[in-house]
Amino acid sequence: MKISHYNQLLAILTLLSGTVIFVSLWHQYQKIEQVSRGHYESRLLMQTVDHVFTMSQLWLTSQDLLFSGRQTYLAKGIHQQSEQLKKTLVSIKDKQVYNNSDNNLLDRLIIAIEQNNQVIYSFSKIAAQQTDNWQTTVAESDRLTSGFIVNLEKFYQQVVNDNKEKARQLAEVTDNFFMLCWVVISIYLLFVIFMVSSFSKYIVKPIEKITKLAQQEENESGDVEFRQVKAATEIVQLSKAIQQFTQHITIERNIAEQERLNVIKANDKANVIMDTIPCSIILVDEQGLIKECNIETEQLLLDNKTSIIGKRVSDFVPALANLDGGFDRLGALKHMEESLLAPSFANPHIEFSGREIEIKGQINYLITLIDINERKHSQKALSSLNDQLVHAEKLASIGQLSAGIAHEINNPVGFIRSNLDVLDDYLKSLAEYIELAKQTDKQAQASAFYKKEDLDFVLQDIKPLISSTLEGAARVSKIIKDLGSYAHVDEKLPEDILIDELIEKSLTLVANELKYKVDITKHLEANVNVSGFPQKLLQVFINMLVNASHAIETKGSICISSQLEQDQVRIRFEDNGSGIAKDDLKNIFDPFFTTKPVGKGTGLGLHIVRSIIEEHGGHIDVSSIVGKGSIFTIYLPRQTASQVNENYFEQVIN
Amino acid sequence: MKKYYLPLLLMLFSQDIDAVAYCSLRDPVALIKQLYPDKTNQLSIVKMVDDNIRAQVQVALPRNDLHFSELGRHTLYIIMQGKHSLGYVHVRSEQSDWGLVEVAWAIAKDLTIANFAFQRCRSPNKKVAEQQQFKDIFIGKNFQELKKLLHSDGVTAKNAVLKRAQPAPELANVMLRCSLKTLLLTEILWGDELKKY
Repeated sequence: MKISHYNQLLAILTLLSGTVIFVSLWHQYQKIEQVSRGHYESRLLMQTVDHVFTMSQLWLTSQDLLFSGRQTYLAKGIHQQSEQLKKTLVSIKDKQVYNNSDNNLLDRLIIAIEQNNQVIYSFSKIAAQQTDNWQTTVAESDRLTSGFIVNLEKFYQQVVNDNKEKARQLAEVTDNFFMLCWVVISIYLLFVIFMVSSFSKYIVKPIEKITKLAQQEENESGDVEFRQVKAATEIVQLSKAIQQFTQHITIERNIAEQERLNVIKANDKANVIMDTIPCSIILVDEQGLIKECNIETEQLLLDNKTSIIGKRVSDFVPALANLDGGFDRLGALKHMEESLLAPSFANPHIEFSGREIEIKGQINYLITLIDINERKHSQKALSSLNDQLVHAEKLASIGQLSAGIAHEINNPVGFIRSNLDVLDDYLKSLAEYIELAKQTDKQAQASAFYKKEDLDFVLQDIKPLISSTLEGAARVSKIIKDLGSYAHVDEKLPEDILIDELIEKSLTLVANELKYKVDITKHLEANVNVSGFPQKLLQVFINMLVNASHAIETKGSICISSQLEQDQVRIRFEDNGSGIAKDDLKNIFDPFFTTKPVGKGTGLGLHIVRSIIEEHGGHIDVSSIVGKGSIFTIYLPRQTASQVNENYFEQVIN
Repeated sequence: MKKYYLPLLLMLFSQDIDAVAYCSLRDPVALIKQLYPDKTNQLSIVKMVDDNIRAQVQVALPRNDLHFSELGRHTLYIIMQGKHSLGYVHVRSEQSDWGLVEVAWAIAKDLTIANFAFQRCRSPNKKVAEQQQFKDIFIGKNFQELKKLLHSDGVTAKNAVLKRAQPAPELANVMLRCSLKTLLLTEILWGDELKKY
């Protein structure tokens, strides 16, 4: 049976039993009320009859006094007493209608009073007479009043009996009422006990049993039998559901336990990872307060974990603070951002990356701090090494170019020497002529010598010889100057460079390399300044030209062009050499990659070219077809020196 | 309460009463003959019951005060058989639920109750009281002996007497009070006179 049915049954039975109890008790109570009212009226009647007795006692005594002393003045009072007595008896008679008492007695009493009144009246008439007639009247009155007393006693007895009967009835109905109360209460208690017992057996006990089973400590197997058989339907269903639920819980718990173990393992692993990971990891909240960190953080921030936790992350990494000192959430989300620790740290270089993560509904930031001080030092070293490498490469190219350059120098030096030898001969002839001419006596000799030595020609030839010598010296000077500037290490600060002029310089230096097999075509139309490091860019152009020359085996052409395209200068080196294989195109800028025979190339040329161009904020593209040639296009931004300086300083700082 | 109404009423009505002997026989010859069938004649001695006598009665019978109707002249009949006295007849009235009960007491010469007869008794149990068994409660007893029958309340008879007087116990109470007053007043008022007879 369902609990709801129990409740309905209980409600109905309670209502029915309550109704039965109420109706029966009310009915019995009404009986008591009725009988009690009758008994009360009976008692009132008894009191009235008692009063009648008293009145009649006075009435009779008054008569006795009247008769004894023949005191006729009492007659009026006796008459009034008679009327009062009669009135009382009449009122009793009226009430007696309801009490079914013997009304004849009352009638006789009333009649006796009336008759006695007449006797008293007649006595008062004859009392003064000197005869004995009054004694007859007294005797008649005594007879009447004796009868009155007898009847009054009878009536009183009736009333007493009636009162006793009423009292008995009252006691009976009262007893019945209490008996009924006891019976009803007993039945009700039995009913309550039965219902409580039923409730206890089918509802409470099973629930207690389930509760006890639920509270008891789990046994080893974890199997607890919750199912109840003798219970309300809901409890049976509930116990089955609990049983299924507990089984499900057991399974889930085992899974959870396994997962917990896995989590512990994972946690241990994560802790190990966290503590061994070679970077600092800190967890900060939205206010930038550090909530967690790993061991590496202690080493980076030179403090123990307990001291670090709770502090603001910006105390350690000022870059993560806003201008108002708050936590820079957007800044924390940067990736691989190089920054500095607080000035108090001796090794301040770090790189941080941040991610926003939600933990238990709250936004947190996981920030990694990587100590890049070594890298910075390495970068510096590498930069230095790179400079050395560039320089070495430059020197190497100078070495490669040295023969050509020497040849280029040797030619002018040769004809300078030749010219100087001629000029020396000319000078000797002229000196001898002048010596002869100074002597007046040797004027003829001088003229002969003049003609002999054809000094007119000499004088005419000296100027071209000197010009040629000066030109040769200038050529040598230029080559040496260009070579010197090429070999010279750049200043630290960039400077404005006329890019077309720098290309020309490069052509000068590689002229001997090119002139026997390459036809140079120039379209230098940029005619703008590019800010940068001239020696490095010169190295780039020489490298481009030498590579093009090397790509041309016997005879070819190289077209050099410069052009201004919007905000950048495009410099193109186009050759019709052997070209570059497609597979090699992707590797040509890698360091130490070369297709040249061993000893002919370092493999660093194009790598350095690209690094220098990138250093200048530009980039280089290449396209090549094997057998047809290659096109290298260099794009350099058209920047002023101040802009380049800013970029340069930024790079230096970073 | 009702027992107090009567004295009050009597007090009201007795203010103008002449000193008439109320306790007297209406038909002395017949009643005395009933009590003393052998009597030949009777003498009567009239005495006055005054406040002094009343006070003596109050002392002797504290709860049985004489009411006003009992004051005044009273007659004691000396019953004679020739020249010898047979006894005395003393008529007394005693208030009751049925009015005044008038009793003619026959008193022996030794002042014990010899017999009694009712001049008026409206009690339904009058016949019971007229039976010898009832009368024997009183007959032969003097004042002291009768007084022993009184309950400690001084008004009612002891339970044993009442039981013996069944079914007329109230009448027994009336008769006991009346007999005690009768013997007491007889001795007080007429004691000296009676020594002559």
